[in-house]
Amino acid sequence: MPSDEVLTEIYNAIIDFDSDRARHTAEKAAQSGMSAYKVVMDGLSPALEEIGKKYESGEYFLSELLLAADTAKSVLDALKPHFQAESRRKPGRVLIGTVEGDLHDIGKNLFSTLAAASGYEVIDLGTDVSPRTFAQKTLQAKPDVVAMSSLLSTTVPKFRETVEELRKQGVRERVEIIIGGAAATQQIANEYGIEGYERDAVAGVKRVTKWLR
Amino acid sequence: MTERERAMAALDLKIPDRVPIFDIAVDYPIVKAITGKEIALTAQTIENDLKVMAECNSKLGLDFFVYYPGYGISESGKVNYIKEKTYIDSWGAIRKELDFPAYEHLYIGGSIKNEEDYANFHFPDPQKAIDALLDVERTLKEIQEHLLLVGGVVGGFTTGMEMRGVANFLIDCHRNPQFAKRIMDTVYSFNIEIAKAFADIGVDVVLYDDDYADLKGPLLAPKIWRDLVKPYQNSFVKEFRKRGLWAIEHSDGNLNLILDDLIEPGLSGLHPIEPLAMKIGEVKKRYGSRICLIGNVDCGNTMTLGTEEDVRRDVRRCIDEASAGGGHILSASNSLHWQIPVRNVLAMADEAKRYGRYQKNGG
Repeated sequence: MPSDEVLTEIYNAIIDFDSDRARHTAEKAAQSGMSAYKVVMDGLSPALEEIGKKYESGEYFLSELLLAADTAKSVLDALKPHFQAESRRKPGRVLIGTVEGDLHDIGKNLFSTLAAASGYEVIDLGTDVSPRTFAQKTLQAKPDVVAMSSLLSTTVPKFRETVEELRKQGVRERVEIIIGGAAATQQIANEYGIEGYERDAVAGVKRVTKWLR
Repeated sequence: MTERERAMAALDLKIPDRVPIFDIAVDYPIVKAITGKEIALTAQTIENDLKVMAECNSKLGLDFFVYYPGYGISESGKVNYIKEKTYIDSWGAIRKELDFPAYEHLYIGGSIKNEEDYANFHFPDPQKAIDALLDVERTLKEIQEHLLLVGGVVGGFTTGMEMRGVANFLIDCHRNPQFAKRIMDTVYSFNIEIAKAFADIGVDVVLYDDDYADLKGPLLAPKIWRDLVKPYQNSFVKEFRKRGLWAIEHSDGNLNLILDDLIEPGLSGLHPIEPLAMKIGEVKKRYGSRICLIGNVDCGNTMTLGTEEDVRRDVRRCIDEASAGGGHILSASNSLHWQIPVRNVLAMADEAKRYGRYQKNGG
């Protein structure tokens, strides 16, 4: 739990899934001169870590995780203008999307919000992202991590095609790749030479943190 | 044994001549490959479509036929195109058409963004679904002469998630449970009307299709699920068990924490027991004397990406873990969907028929 009073209030609002209180307190913190980055790293992030632990241990379920992400989003939205004013380099940049042919995005959205709430810059390409788009955006945005999600088994080959396209564009070695979603497995990650596979969004963000911090 | 006798024996937890085979849906590209015939699912072609689908089931060796009225991508299911190939269905779900005919189009999200949208939303008329059912009653009865007839309804939890968007509806269950309940109440009333019509035309089994879990566990905390969602499932199962029908629950995911609750009202069978989420051998040990287990052949990876031998091996694993003493029906762990190569569908059915024979002494 954070030591500062206003950060403790944000922490508690997230733990209580109270979006209004979380947003209001985040705005108050930013207006008082606290950096948006500090609000995220010392208020939001520890709260989500606590909720993530409860999810992993089985005390919380997907709906609580979604509630926490929804509450976190209200904080991130409130801080958006302040982030833009701050020139601080974030600890890492994550490019994410569901693979071509797949439109299922609950897990992807959850990962996206949790990663942003952990302080990372997230570039969310949305759903149905072609290998070419993944590679082009990687060239342009220079992320540290490329994250791909897939629910449909038939789209699994797109993981490999995307890895190949990244290689073709000469950026494969610059990024760590992580895959998730119901169609992803550790075996697929091994076969395609992908560094990371995780079963859920909480574990996925943890893995990214291991790589980037 | 006939298909019907075999299916009934398993649902009654007895030992048939071989393990029966079920599937909740056989997708259209597979139906076409097996029968060589097209299906169109229009009001004009529906009777013939059902006959072709039943022919496919029989050719594969399935012992059941499942019918859902008012659902799927029949003409009546598509209500409002919002852009090319993307439409809002009659239950408020946004779907994208595939480039070929398939049982279910890709779910994109919910169209009901708030309570105001919901207030303006027109639910499907149950009478229309009942009329559609009565239009095909004669055909269903013909199919029922050979196969055990299953009437399916989709529960309010799944419908709520589809019309609101999964994340929104799960958040509703916490922040606005009265709204979630209003949606589930309306769907429940619809389902009861339909299932009564099923009972009136003499279906053998009702299928309550409502997804409560993902691979890790229930989507809602069990306590919230018990307060909010369980009453609908329990009342539905009780109602139709009282009428003498078998009742099967379909829910994806890991149900271990709520299995006792699902079984409580006298459930006859559980489908599909996803292998990445639940171990069928353990479910057999805990519940095999109370419910029939249906499913568990991995259609996520093994049937979709594996070889025929991989599929045969998985069928044998299921039978080894769940068939002893009866009360097991072999089925894919979701459906025979379009992503599965036809050779693997044939391998599953063939191995079930070959390896699933019970010894004369019942072993």
